[in-house]
Amino acid sequence: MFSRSRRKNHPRAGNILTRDHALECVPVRNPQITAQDNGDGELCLTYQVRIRPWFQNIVRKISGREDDIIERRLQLDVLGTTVWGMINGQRRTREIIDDFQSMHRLNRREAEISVTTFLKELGKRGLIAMREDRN
Amino acid sequence: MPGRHDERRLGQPYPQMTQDSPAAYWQDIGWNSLFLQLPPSWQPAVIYPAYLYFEQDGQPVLEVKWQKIHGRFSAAKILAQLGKSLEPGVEPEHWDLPEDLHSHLASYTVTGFQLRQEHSHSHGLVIFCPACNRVTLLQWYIDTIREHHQLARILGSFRDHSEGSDRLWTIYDIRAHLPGEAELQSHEFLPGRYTLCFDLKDTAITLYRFKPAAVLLNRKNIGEFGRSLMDRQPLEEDKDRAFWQFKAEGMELLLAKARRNPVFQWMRLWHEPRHNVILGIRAEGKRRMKSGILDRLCANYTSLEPH
Repeated sequence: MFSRSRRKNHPRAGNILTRDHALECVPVRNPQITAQDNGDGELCLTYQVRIRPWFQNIVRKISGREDDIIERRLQLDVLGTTVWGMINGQRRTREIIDDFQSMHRLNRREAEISVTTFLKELGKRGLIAMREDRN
Repeated sequence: MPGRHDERRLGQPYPQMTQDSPAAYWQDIGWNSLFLQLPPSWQPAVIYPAYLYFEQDGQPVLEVKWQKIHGRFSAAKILAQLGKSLEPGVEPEHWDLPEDLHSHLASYTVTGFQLRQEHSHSHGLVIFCPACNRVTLLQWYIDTIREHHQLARILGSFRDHSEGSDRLWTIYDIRAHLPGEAELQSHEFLPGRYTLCFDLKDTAITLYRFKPAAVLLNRKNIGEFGRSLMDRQPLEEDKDRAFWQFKAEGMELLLAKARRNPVFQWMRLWHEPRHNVILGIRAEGKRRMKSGILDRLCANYTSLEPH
């Protein structure tokens, strides 16, 4: 009873994507990110994060800086760099998985888990967003 | 005739794939005595030692569960157990397997059932094999009439025990023949890394499969890569293979015994560029295993074209 009513009142109830729907989404890069090649085919992504208000006070006391934005870096491995390179704002997640699978001769499921886990991680950090159609 | 022991069928080994046969387009599944041929798009999604669940495009298509029977076989008892595991109000109903499909399972005792649930309608079989005393619950979610040919082929390929001394283990893109006494201890199918651990006469045998090899061997050779699995210098090493062997002696032997560490360790890794894969077998235990057995394990462990 409880779980049903909670689910019904949850702001995102009814908004959950099915697997098929999610695979049709197009990942789009955050335009504010800069990618730097470290010379051996691996990229380092630099992105900005707004500090949370409660944490901002601590940072201000320690570092003396006033702005509430800090810079973070994410080092991608070769596989991550490959997938990042495939995100062009046009390709669907399904197409990225297909390309990744054939490029590395992986199983379908293996490729799907690898790519979707990576995209989820990028999404959590705000490095990509998912668009529901190509245009 | 259901329940009759069919020498001809049981005498057949696991079907062998040939390049020319249409079966080449289907995948073999060999797991803990079970053998099935399935369409390549059916992906194993849940794997336990005696349970397999397959999906196609994220939708369930087949479930298989099996176990040894101790005592007398009763299909009614098994269906009653199944009924208890379902949501309230859902009961397995009797269903007759079409006669032509039944003929594929002539050497088994077969009982059909169907489940009508809110969002799915499935059919299934309780298959009892009098030769190995094993019962298998096969449940499919595809349309039995529309997918009749597919189902006929799946049921025709069904085996629940092997005739030879070896047992076939094949799932995803790996295929291995292991001695029948090898018991599965644990397994892990992580993206890029598969590990299957067996116990064979007090020796722990581990099968490895790593992908994509081109990336994993990008900046290191196979010997360096193997050091993450065995922290020793390889005994032999070349471009595509490396071999480790260690036998504790003298003080090391005493220490290993006191710490209950393995006295004997053996590992071979090899790179198959055609499938972009690194395969490996590791053995360790209290006694040295005959290298002939380990060589045979390596020869019988291969990678397949991924689906």
